[in-house]
Amino acid sequence: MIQIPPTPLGRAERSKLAAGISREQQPEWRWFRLAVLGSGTTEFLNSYLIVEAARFEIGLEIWNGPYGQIEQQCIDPTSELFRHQPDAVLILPELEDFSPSLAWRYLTLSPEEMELAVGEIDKTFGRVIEAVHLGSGVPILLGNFPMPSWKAAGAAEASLAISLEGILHSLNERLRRRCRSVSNVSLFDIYCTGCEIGWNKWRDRRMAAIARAPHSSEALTGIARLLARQLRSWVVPPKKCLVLDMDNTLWGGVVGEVGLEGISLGPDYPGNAFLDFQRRVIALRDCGILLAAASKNNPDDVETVFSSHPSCLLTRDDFSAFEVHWEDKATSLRRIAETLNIGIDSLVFFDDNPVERQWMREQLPAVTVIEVPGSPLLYVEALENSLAFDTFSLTEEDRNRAVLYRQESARSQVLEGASSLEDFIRSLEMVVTLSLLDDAQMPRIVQLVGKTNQFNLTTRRHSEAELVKLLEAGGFGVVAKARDRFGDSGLVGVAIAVPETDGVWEVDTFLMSCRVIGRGVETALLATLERMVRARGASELFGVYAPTAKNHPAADFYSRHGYENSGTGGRWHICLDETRPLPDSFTVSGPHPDL
Amino acid sequence: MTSDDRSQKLRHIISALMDVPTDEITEDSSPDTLASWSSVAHLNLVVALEEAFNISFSPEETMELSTVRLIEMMLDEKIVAA
Repeated sequence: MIQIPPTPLGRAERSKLAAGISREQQPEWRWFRLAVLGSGTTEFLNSYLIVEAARFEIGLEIWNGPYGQIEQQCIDPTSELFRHQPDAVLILPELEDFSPSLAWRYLTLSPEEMELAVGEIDKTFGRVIEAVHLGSGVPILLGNFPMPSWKAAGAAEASLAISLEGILHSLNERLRRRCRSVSNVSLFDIYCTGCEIGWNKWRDRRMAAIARAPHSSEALTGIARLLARQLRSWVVPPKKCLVLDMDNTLWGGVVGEVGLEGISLGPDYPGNAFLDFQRRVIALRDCGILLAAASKNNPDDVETVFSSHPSCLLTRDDFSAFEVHWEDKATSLRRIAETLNIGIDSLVFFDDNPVERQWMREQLPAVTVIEVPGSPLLYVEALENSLAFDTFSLTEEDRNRAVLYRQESARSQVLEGASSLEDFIRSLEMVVTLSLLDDAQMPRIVQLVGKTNQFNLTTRRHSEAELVKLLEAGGFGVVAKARDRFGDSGLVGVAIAVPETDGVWEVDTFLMSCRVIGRGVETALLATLERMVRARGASELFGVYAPTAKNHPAADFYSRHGYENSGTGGRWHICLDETRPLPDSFTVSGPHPDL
Repeated sequence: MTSDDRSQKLRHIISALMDVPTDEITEDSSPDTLASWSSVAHLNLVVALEEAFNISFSPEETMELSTVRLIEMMLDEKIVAA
């Protein structure tokens, strides 16, 4: 196992480390063939990119395009870029390269001319993106524009009608929108990284002059970290739930001892540090992270803080699971995972008490335990640095997740009172809508494919590019959405079928969100998939169940639906002679099978 | 740090950057004798020396550092002068 020392790392050290990393030495890592295209020379980035990615066990084989050929390499289908067959393309443009007049003569431009020039660059990237997708379909990491090396008007710059800052803002905003509107393109936020590092430290004038390599060592480190984090978010599924201790974590002091008035929480130090942490936690909840409480306390004391403390921002309702009692915390976390129907390894534990943290590491090694610093001023940073909740995209479902879980707990109450499962399902008045997978749903599908563990038959973690390829090769996908009288669960399942040989298809992917398992939605999805496969001329279908540590809830799926075990590779077979009836305990609105 | 120490350190840096064993590096080693001493590796060497010895090179100087011997002379000059 290669050990990467913390930054700062010298250039020689980095090169030596980078040279020791290879596919042969680290076969268990995730490997990417990365193409880097820049306005300037990008070779100096390589050892930085390789070392920062290695921290996350991601390996990079890098091809550097010739400087100043971003558009040329992308537009020409026979270019070196495409011959190199990359898994991802990183593009690092500079304003001086794309529009010298915007970079150097912006004082001479009218607002209309400025808009026109900005629009031209935006259109150029539109062409670049289209060409790369046509040429290879690989994901693009599109860098936005960093600050050029000088501004024209000194002290007057800020009050100009057209300032360099204004130009960059308008240009980068256009690129941001463009990236949002196209699938498989991520904005690579160089501008933000430059602001964090400081533009004064960003450039190395000497290297720019003698080697067209504009970046300082600090800038190279910043770019490499940004890339490593982006790639990490592609391969590491984000955690789902933050489990919080209460005393000395969400407020200062022990509420059971000092009482409601005695705890530190309010506008002055140290209460404001805890308040700040609460704000960050609430923002995480806005991102769809579930919150849970695990505290050794009298429940009444804690509830009183949430209901009656004048400064407390978190409320009892923000917590999707609440384990406040005197039992041990490993038991609490097990129960939280069970209540929320998520894996133990989706939990992140945040507790100021080192003894509790050690206990958790020993009892439940799958839980991510954050090393909480002594001062509450550093809590937010500790949470950020863990990258536990880092994700490459936030979907509508994410942001509503806490609401979805509240609906779910209302449903479980109905279930407890129902006489049979069948009655329960009928009482939900569920409507399941099935439709052909379309582009707009891609981000959510990629996310589900990347993180669904339990009801996932094949657990094939396709990237967006791989999914696009499956569809282009003649496959198709069906997505299932569900709503009922408690609310809209959104997109809850997806199935993808691909042709194998004439008349024989395979179910490449079949997965459901754990929220709806056991209500027959999976049967509706399978029935629809079978109809659509048949409409495409298939007479036989193979399903695959590939067992993992987690997907046993799906183990009997095919046998339950009349498939026969074909004996090899977890493949299950069915002849599509008869049309499978749709479940009648809910309404199904589906696509025409010829779709 | 003596001149010999500096020389040792230089060889370690070159070894790390050019991926060659230190004992294969001689006073006459240069971009002409080591295949891995590319123009990119050369500039990485310049930055690595600046980091290691807390000195800086002008653009002109970076181009003059063309053999191990010349680099050693330049290091002696810069560090003794400082």
